[in-house]
Amino acid sequence: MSTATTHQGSEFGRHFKLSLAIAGREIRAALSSPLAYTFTALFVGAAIVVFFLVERFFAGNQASLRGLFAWMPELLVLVCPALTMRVWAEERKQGSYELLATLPLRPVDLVVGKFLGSFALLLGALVFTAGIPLVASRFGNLDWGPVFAGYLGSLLMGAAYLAIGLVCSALVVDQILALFLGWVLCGLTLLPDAAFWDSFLPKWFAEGFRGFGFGARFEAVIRGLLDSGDLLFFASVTAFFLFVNVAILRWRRIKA
Amino acid sequence: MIRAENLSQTYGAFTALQGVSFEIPKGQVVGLVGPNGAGKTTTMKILTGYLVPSAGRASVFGHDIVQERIAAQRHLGYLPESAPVYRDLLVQEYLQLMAKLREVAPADRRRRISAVVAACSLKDVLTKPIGHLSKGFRQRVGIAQAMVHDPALLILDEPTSGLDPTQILDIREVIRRMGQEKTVILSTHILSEVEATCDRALMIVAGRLHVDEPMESFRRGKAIIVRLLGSPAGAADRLAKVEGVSSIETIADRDGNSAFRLHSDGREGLLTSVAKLAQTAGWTPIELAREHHDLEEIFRRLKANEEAAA
Repeated sequence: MSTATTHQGSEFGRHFKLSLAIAGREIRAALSSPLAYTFTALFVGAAIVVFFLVERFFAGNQASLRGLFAWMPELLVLVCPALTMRVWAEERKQGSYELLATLPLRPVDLVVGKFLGSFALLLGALVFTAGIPLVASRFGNLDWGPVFAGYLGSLLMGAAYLAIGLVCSALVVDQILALFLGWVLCGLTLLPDAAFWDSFLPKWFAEGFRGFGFGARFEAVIRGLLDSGDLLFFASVTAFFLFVNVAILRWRRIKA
Repeated sequence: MIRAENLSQTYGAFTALQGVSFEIPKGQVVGLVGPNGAGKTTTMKILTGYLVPSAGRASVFGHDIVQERIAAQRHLGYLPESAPVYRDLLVQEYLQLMAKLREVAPADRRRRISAVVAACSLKDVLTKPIGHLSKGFRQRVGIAQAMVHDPALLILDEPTSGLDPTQILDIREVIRRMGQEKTVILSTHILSEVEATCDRALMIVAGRLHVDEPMESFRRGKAIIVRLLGSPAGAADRLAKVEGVSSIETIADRDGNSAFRLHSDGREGLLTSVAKLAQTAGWTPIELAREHHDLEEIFRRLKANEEAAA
């Protein structure tokens, strides 16, 4: 029994190492392309504009990051597909996907590697927004609890959007097309949260529909209500799309 | 042993490969020859596990390429068409990445990388971004990554396409050296390429395997061309009676000489018999040689046959 466990453990380690190598390659590729910098800069810039200008942080008399996190779902929808658009599309366009697919790796090793690489880029982009709470904390007594909850929610929601973006990139060869597809799909997840449903749908129905929106889930997480249901929601959306991605890779072997 | 049994591949309505079977013993250098679009690349994509064939099966050293894909892939190195290597990486970074992904033990990595760098003459470009290299060098980087885990089988798709003559000679030299200990399958549409590097040629035309012979007999046609000065009477009849000649064909000759193609079963000594006959008959032979296969001609003929049959 114990030997079997040890063996499984080392097997897992072996596959994880391969995924990390793929992730490292992914980060390296993103950093050598101006697109990654451009979108990270746009993301951070938009976060600053939203927080200080749109939500008028200085006009309020509360040191809180609510203004930033209120816009975070939209910001993530914008940046996540941009971080994943080139991942599969570019490999296929350059033909290097053929080499990847003939390496002795499982499709899931590749997908996990690509996901981890993209996640590291998102983490990087979020770290650059950390200047905002640092500035905010100088103007009042910032409660750091909600800030951490907000960042946790952003990472969870971002992970789900990255997984969706990866699937979009795996479906098309043109990365710009993957970007638009990603924006549309990720944007759809916020549709149930829109206020306009109330104006023509029965109230009970609009409420129920809202439950499908990513925005309501995100709200719950950043309010610090660490409900395992919401965490599980984002985790399972992420897992589902990574699984779809694996299925696409398998399918490509059969249907050239 | 590499084995392909009845491989077929269809892309929608298009049949790329039809019932292709062959066996390649360990250590052989095999050329897949055929016109563009004949099915060479498809065959390689199946052997490397990139594609699951529509029908038939293939195995690499006993591992079925579909059922035991990963085990089979550990034994092979692959250079896809046009060497798609990561252009943003330095040559050494790329080789390190591939060694890692191929699970070369960390302790062996340095040694393996120096070995392939030496084999492919990449020492001077190690610290250059791959995107800045010439096509010839990129191709060599592609071959180096295919060898970094010291596989027993190398599959190279058009390793010399788009290279200049000096680069071609370089790459052939690399392949010849590898062929001394490894099984190599390469594809090309140039006959001289096969002659220069391969032990055996597999000819694929319109998705079917046509010629599977050792290089020596492939190069040597079975027909003999005889060209005699002037037009000696009765030459055709006498040549037709030489032992081993199955049929005779008159070929046009612009200078008014007589020329014949003698078809035979390819037996040895036929040239000598014809030369002796010419001497006894008092003819002046101005050409007496085995006909060499002209690949383009064979491709055309086979394709025409296929189309006529369809």
